[in-house]
Amino acid sequence: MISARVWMAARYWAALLFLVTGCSVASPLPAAGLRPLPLLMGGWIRDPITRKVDSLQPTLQWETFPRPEDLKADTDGRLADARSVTYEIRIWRADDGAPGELVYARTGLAEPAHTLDTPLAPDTLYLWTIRARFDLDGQPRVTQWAVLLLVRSDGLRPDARRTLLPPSGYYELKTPTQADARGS
Amino acid sequence: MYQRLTLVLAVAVFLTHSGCAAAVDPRHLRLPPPPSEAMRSQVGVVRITAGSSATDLKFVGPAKGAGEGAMRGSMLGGLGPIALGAQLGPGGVMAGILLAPVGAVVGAVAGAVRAEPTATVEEKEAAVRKTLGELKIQEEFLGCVTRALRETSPQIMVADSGTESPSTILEVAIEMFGLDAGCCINPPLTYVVTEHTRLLRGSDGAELYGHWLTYRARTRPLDEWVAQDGTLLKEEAGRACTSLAEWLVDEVFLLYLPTEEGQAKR
Repeated sequence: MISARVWMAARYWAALLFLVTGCSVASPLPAAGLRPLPLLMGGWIRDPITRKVDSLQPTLQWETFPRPEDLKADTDGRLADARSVTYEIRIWRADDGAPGELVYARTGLAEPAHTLDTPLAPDTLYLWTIRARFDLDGQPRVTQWAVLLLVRSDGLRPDARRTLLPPSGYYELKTPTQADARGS
Repeated sequence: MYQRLTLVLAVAVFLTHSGCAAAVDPRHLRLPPPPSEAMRSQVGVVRITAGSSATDLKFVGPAKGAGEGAMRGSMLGGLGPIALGAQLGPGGVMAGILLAPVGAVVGAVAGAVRAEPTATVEEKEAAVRKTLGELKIQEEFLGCVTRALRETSPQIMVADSGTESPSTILEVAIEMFGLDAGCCINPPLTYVVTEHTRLLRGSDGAELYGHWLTYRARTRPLDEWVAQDGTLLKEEAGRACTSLAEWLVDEVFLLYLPTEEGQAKR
């Protein structure tokens, strides 16, 4: 009798634990284009959208192109023949949450990582994005600029194909104060 | 759920009665998939031409004088309590409706006081229209697109006007540009530009692809746009020209979307 009750209670708690952990498993936040690394995770405890860096010349990393999900979605199989993959990066000073002055742009990056070769301003919020450039059957092609697809303040459904420029959802980057900057 | 519905209804009533609602073509909201690779392989020699549609110069600015200020203020003051009440539920909506006349009167007085004199607003509007007119936006945009195409897509052969017969025509047009604002008495304004692009077959003019893109700059008070002979307006127009042209060229000639959406026409 007691063992049956214990068994029932154990099953109840196991089911509850499964539900709780099942619901709280973190997954990457919805995004379009290549995603910065480490991935921003959602779930019960969501990563802060603004990534704080510890240097005024931070090293930024992102996914390698083509990703397994790109190859899977590319039903024509063209991406398997993608050649000469390079990356482009752009960084803007944030202006009321939107991209303001373009302060940094590099093209032809061979690796999916880049250490800025000029310093950013301390204690400043920036927006940044990346994309891949590659050759497909000898023709240059690009991926879309990377954006986070979060619910916007105006309530509109996030959509990487909106006709409005500049797009919302570029990744946020906050530089340290001059005193806190690594190597200062 | 009910609260959200009442809020949406209240906002809809507010917008339609304030004259801010306009029919929106869905094609202006979402980009189509980029041209298929098969279509791109047929592009050949491209001629860039300006579209024939007229360019609409937009200016939605502050209220002109106490009269218009009072009208706008009464609208905002009357509908504001309903929108606020909607967030509290059905009781809130009823209270909002009862308070609407009071809000309208208060809003009208505030609007009349806050509005700038008609002559002042018209003077600033004339300065803005002069600066916008001097931009020669259609010709500038054609130049921006040609530069972007030559810089980012060297594989595309661009036909010099009149010398070669193109296999494809890239028709670009600025459909609307100007300063836009919300429905307040003295709102900040946004520089806005909408372009329309069509890719046409050279032999018969059939449309192969088309899209719209809209650039919206950050909002600024009208005084800032007008200051220093419209310097900020000219700078923003240059930024918009470059951004739109670059995005346009990416969409038509370079973007590859390895997703279900991108596959739609591939």
